[in-house]
Amino acid sequence: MRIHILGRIARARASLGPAGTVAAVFLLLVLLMAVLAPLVAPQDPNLQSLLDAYSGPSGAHLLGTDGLGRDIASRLVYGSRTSLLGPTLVVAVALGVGVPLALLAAWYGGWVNAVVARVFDLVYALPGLLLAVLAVALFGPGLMPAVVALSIAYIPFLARIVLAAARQQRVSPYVDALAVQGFGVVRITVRHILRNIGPVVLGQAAIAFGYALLDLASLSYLGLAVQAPTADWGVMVSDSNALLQGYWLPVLAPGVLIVCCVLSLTVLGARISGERPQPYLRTRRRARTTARTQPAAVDQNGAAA
Amino acid sequence: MSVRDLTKIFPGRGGGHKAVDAVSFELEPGGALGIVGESGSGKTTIARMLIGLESATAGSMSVLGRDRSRPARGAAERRARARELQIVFQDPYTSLDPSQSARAAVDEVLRHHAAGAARAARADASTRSRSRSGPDPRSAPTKATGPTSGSDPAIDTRPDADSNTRPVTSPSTNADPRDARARQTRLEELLDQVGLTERQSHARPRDLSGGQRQRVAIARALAADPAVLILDEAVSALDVSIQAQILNLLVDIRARTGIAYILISHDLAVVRQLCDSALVLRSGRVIEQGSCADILDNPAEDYTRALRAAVPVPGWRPPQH
Amino acid sequence: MSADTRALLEIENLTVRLADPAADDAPKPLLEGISLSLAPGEALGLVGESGSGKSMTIRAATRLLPPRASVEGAIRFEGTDVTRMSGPALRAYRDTGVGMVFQDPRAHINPTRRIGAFLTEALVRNRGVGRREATARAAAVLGEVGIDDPARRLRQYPHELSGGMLQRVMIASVLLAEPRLILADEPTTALDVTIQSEVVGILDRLRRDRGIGMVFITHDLDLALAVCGRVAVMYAGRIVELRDAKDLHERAAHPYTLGLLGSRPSIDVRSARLTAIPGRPRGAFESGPGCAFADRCAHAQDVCRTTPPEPVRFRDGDVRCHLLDQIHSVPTAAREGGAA
Repeated sequence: MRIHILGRIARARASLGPAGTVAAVFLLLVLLMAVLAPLVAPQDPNLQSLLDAYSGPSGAHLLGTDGLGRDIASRLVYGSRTSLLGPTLVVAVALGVGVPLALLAAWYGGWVNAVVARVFDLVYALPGLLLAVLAVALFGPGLMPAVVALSIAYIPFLARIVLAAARQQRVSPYVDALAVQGFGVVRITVRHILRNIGPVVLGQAAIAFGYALLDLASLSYLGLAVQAPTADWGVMVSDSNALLQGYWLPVLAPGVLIVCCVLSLTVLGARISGERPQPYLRTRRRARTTARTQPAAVDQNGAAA
Repeated sequence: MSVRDLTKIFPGRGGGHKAVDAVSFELEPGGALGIVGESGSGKTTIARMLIGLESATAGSMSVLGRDRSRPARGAAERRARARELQIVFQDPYTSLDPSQSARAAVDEVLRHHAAGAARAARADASTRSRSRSGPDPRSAPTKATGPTSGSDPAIDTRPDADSNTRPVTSPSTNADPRDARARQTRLEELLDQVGLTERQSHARPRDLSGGQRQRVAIARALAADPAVLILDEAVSALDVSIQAQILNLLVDIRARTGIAYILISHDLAVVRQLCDSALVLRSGRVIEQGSCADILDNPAEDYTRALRAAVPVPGWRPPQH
Repeated sequence: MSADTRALLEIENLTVRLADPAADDAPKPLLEGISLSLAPGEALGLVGESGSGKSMTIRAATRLLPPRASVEGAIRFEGTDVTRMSGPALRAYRDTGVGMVFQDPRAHINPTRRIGAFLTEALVRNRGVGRREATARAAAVLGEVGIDDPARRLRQYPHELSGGMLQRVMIASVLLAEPRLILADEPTTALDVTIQSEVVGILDRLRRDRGIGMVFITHDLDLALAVCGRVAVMYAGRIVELRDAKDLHERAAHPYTLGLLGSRPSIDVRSARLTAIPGRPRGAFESGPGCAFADRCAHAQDVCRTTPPEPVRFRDGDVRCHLLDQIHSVPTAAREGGAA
């Protein structure tokens, strides 16, 4: 069993490449940090201690404190929760709406495809951030209006790629073969088409997640999404007071985290959806696997022929 | 199988393009018909209409007495049609789901039809009055193979199958562990029948050669236990030595199961090897129709003669201009 | 140095390997010890299945190999070693020495330009022929390959022509350069059989009339026998049998050649079973130390798996097989009677 798991990890590493592996490990750590925040964080993220305001890194405060004397390390840890929650919702909603629409359009083609594709194009033309600002203007600042607005803006970003990939699968003879076997539309699209384009969807979702993270951080920075006392990376970056006072760590630390997350997600997304660093290497490897699996074929066919 | 005046007109300028023009043929149970023609003759369009991937502009087609001129309504009818007619496509590289092993692909089809049969059996049990001993069209091909003739329509027609373990024989088989076992037996039998090893059956298509993939495609088609199998240029893309293996396999399968073939091909020698009767298509029209030997040995039409004369055989010389 | 001074193309012990910088194992072989020669006006067939190296052989002959390929042995065109040709000599060789016809003409003709432009470009640019003169020559050559109304065809675009028509245009473009050698790589595989017979008829006539040498690659043994004087059967990067086309059917000796002959169904009779070769065709890099065909061969013995066979003279042909005497000690008629 252990060998099996190790084998899987080794295979995953091989297909992700060195940069992809680093990105995956980093994101896994961030995710763990968010889930286990109460265990990981050294202190209560909202505990104020004005006496300790703007203290530098020390044994008590690993990354120092902010203007209200709150522990920055702890705020980063808890901040990962809100910072990751927003993009998760955005991607989930965008996928939930966009993927079924794209699959529908790919399957039926014709006017269904034309209508869906035009709608995607239309929404694609709307700038996401502007939509979010509009939503905030209508419903007041907060995470939810921003998430809803961004979700809508992100639908075509994901769905257009799903549509293109699904359309390619749709015209494959294997889909015809399944239809001839009497399988229904839903089964063929979900169990076969979606499964085969899974890596593309997943990769694109990872990239979208990174962008959503950045967009939400920007909105929080502007005070339009997550609101001040809550620990959030975007909110933390907006602590311009610290900069004025000459303390850069309270701003730099969350900024670095955001950049690293977005970068990792982009790298990982590209790798998952099939962009390989060295295509030549891949073919070689595949050729060798084929060679290895063949000898058995020969014996058997010899018996059968 | 019976096809009457099958016509397909693709819409376009000037009344559209008549790809298939009033094609008619009959195929008796266990027979083998070759549809011969060059590119643009409409042979693939005929196949696509037969399997329901393309709608016919006019004409009728039926298998085992069941009409299939209109699109299937509902899952039950789709499944029933699938059990009448299956297809193997030309390109073994795109006709398999890249993420499915041979085993998974065949098993999926077996489950699908077993589930359908169980549902039908339940429906059947609730309306016991309906007699099963009526004229059952599927018993016809069965008779050709002998021992299991006259049995339940859903029972495997292969003599070497253990018919008692087939799920449909008892109406109360829902979730019966025997179901799973019977399906497993059938799965192994199909994989064995097409000559796939245990190891190949677990491999993804990308790790299989063209010939092996085509074996998987044949096993998947046979899993539905169809009365008729359409082979749409199914051996054209294969290397010569592999083509011979698959042709032998197809001859064996027909001898063993009494399945009927419709072979769509541009290759006259392949048609001769596999088929009893043949029809020659040109621009969507049937030029000549009859027994394979007659057509190839004594072609009545100039076009058929020209086709035959163009095939390089020992002693053949290219025409001089 | 050159054994046969009359030879148009002579390949001697050609071995091609492809180095793989990413893998630490030895460069993988694509061709091993190919030797053949072609006289002016002669047609030689290269027959084989996928991976046999038939296309690679003519790619090597025109130096169109991937950059990581290493070449051993000699390829001589009219006595000059192609592998050592300098830039201008190579250009001249490719321009007027040799012409290539490919399987898919559509992929080799620019779809956005008229047939006329495609045909006259090389004449006008490389040979300084006037445009009017070039067009006249193109029209004449189109007539020669059996295209009616050449003037109209010259004004058409590739998509307006059928595959067979386009293949004739391809052949015409080769003829315009007046080469001494034509390399045809599955030129009729994508065509309908009636068109195929016309196209090979044209190639055959041009070869005779103009004395052009031709290497004809195909997977169809019977087609090769009909078009060529001699046929080389290739397997896993080697020529396993080389003999005159006219008696190959009767005198084929290599088990693979016999297997190929038995694999093709006949148009005249229906056999109960084809004598299929088990297994699948190999590439040169997949074969073991001995005979590449050993694992599919019904006759294979220990020596076949350990020692690669050298070509030997047998029944007036060159055959690479250890067991010829054993296999063919049985009267041929009896064996073939058993196979049918």
